Formats: sequence, C-alpha cells, structure tokens
Amino acid sequence: MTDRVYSVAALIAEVNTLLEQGFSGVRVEGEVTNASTSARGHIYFSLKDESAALDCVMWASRARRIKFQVEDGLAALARGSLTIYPQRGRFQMVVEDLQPQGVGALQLAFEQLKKRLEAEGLFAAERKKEMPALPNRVGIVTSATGAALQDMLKVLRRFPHLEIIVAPAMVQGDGAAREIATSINRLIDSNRVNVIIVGRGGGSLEDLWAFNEEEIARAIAGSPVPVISGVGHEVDFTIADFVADIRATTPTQAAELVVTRLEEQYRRLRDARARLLRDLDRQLQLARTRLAGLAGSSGLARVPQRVRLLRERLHRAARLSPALRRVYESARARLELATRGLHRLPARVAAGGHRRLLISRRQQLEQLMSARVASNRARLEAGDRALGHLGPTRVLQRGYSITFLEGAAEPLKDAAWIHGGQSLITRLARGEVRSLVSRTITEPRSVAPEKVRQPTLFDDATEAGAEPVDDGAIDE
Amino acid sequence: MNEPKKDGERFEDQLENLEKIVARLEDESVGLEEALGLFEGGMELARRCRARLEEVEQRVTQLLEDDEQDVEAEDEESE
Repeated sequence: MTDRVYSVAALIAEVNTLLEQGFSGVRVEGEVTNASTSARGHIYFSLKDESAALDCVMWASRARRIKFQVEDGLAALARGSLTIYPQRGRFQMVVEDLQPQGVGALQLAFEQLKKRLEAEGLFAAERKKEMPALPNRVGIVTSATGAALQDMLKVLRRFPHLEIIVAPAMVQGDGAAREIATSINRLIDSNRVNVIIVGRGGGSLEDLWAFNEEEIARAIAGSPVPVISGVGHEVDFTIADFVADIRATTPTQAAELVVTRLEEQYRRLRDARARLLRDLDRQLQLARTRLAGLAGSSGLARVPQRVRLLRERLHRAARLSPALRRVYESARARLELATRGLHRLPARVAAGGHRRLLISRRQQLEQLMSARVASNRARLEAGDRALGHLGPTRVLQRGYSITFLEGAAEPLKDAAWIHGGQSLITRLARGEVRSLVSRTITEPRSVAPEKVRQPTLFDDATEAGAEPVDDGAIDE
Repeated sequence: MNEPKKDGERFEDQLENLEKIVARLEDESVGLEEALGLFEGGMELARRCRARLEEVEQRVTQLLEDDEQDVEAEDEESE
C-alpha cells in the first residue's frame, strides 16, 4: 500500500480500471428484484441470493434486444462488466446480456406476454367476433412468396365468388411483427374485406416468433373485421392464435373455414329454394284435395271464381322460376279437372233435390276447407280407391258410354223417359257428346230408375297423379 | 366494413327470413292463397340472397405498400 492520498474521483477511476481488467465479461447468477424500466428504456434491477445483492443496469440499447420482461423473481444469468458509478459511488454491474434460467428466453417471453394479454382480457371468448355470414371479401396477410399463400389460394379457388386481397408482409426476422401489424391495419383501412386471414407455414419457434409479438396481438385485437389466424402446424400455438377471433391450425385450414362457410350458405339457400318449390307443390295438391272434396259434396258457386284467381297467381308465380313451370303445368291441369267437375254440379244438386241444404252445406264446406289436411287426404284416398273399383270409368274405358238427359242427375236407361227434341249428354271414356234426340223407340217393359252412384270428380282426380317435384337446383 | 348493408338488410337476416318462409309454407294449415304469397316472397328473397352470394367474381388483388393504386395480381390460372 502506498501513502498516496486519492481524490474521490481518482480513486474510483483507478478501481474502475481494475474492475474492467479483472472482471470483463463476468457472469453471475441470481434472482431479479426491484426491476424497473426508465422512460428512456434502461432497465434497473438487483440480482440477489440468500446473503448478497448486486445492483445492475441494462442500457436501453441492450435492453431492446431481450424479448422477455425482466421481472422480480426471475432466476437469471447476467453477463457484463463491473463498475462503480462515480457520482454516487455505487458499485454496479452493467449487464450486456441476460438469460432466464431453467427456461428459454423466447419461451419465457411467450408465457409472460400471454399472461399479460390474458389478464387484459384480450383472449376472452366474449370479445371474439364470429365468422361473418358472408365472408366473400377475404384479406390475406402473409408472405407474398411463401407456400402458405399458394396453399390458401388453392383452397379459396373452390368458391368462385370471392374477392381476395393480399397484403404481403415479411413473416419472419427483425421487423416482421411490425410489417404484419401494418398489413393487417391496411386491410382494415381499405374497407374492402370482411374477413382477414393472418397466416404462415410451419417453422421453428424462432421462425414463428413474429406472431408472438405484442404488436401483432394489438393489431388483431383492435380489428373490427374478424381475424382468422393460421400459423404453423397443428401443434403450434402463437399469441396471434390466442387473440384471433378464430384460430385455424394451419393457413390451409384458415382458408377452408372461409370456403366452408360460403358453401354452407350456398347449401342453405339451395335447400330453402328446393323446399319452397316442393312445399308449394304440396300446397297445390292439398288445394286440389279440398276442391275435390267440395265438388263431391255439393256445389259452391264461388269456387270457379276462386280457382280462376288462384290460376292467375300461379301463372305469375311460375314466371319467377323456370323450375316451377312444370309444377305449375300439373297444378293447372288439376285445377282444370276440378273446375270441370264443378261446372256440372249445380245441375246435379238441383236434380237431387238438395237445394234447401245448400246454404248449410256451404257452411260445412267452409269448415272442411280449413279442416286438417290429413283427414281430407285420407278421405280422398279412400274415395279414390273405392271409386277405382266401383266407378263406371272402367266400363267407359271398354267402349261403353253413359247418357244423361241434359239437366238430369241419373243416367238414361229407358227411351220412354225422353222424347224428340230434347238434349242429351253422353259421357265417354274421354270427353262427352252433346246431341239432340231425333226420335225414340220404346220397348214395352219399363224399368224403374235405380239409384246409381254418380261418377264424380274423383275419377278424374285419380288420373292426375303427383309428378315428382323439381329439385329446385340453383343452377338453372 | 363488417357486412355491407345493401338492400338495407344483412345477408344472414335475408337467409333466415327465407327459412322462416319455408317453415311457414311447410305448415299444412296454410291456405293456398297464403302459400302462393309465401312462395312469391320466398323466391324473391332467394333471388336476392343468391345475388349477394355471387356478387363478386373471384379475383386476387395485391394491396400495395404505397397504396391508392392496387394492381391486379397474376391470374391464378397461370400458376
């Protein structure tokens, strides 16, 4: 030891020289305490163990390079140099590099950011936006040259009515996070997309790192447009995946989700259209059943008018769709049959002497109109069956005919019932003949007219079976 | 822009209305006149929904850095 007396500054300067020589690049491990970051980005903390503490500083230029947060309680290994800060005479370590212990720096950074954003509520299910009903304007943020873009386009090509806007961004390396965030925001600002896919193919944790940066998380969280993340492979979970409204396992799957939604909507529309056509057809059949019921029971003067109105509406409806034209034609044919039956009714009713029942019958029929269809249909089918066996149609088919005196309800069976000059209606298997009696030749024995069940509309109705309904395919 | 509000209605709502009409038409107690009305309304809705679904033709555009003008990217067929 010399007798030299030092000024404070000189002493500290000399000790600092010794410290620099003896402890450059020194490494020390301990637990971080009292960590704080200054406004300029310098990080101050202490490393301590059971019996000692060491003040540390990490200048902003170095601090910027570490991905994780320097937090109290973190077990860390610091590398740097030792120095005495002259103004305070404080001994401290200037840390050049800091590594967490027991866990990788990136892993730690990931966990820390995840925890922080989660605490902020950025991953909450209730803030997630749903896939839009019609995601037909798709923004894609990915590398313009990467395979991921081609994979996505390949899938999206399945749906031909899509607008795809690619906002390219570097997806790995320094500055990637900023580019991705910028591209997301540009897509949002363009106002041209209703869904955004942020994607990148698989890679190492380092390759995918950009998607773990806060900047991307903020851009995604702030997007009013739903964002789908498709980063890496199935097993990779990035911060972007947690924040995204919808997480796809890969870029390809992200594109699949969009196309699937569109195809699903297309299918819904097709189904609805097909069902419209089918259901209208069914309603027409029901109407026919009701008309048949009316015709068979009694006359209803208003019905022909109603039928005419309905026919006009049908005609208009048919113009909406070529696919409906066939349905319409068959419906029209049925209505024709029904009205033809109705036109014959008043005569029959009059002859049958039921005129007085007409008013109350009509009321009953109104009820019948609104009665459950099932019973109507059952009735009709039973009637069809019975008449198919019993009715005179079969006989007519063989070439026989039935003749009525015009206005009479019962078939003509005896020439003595009529005289010359009267009008006759002869019913054939197809159509009828109207004729005038020129003369009659009577036979001695006169047979009393017996009750014969009239052929009714049901005979006609059985011939007009249900046609298959058009499938209503959307492509016409 | 989440969902363009053309026709004053969202696509989803139109599609749902269409499905309601279909459900109503499936009700057998509906009279023929009402059925026709439902059918006409339904076909019109279906037409509008389809127009919405098909309003764009597929094309790929690249949003450029210095914006304003986007250029159309290479047609995908010529990959």
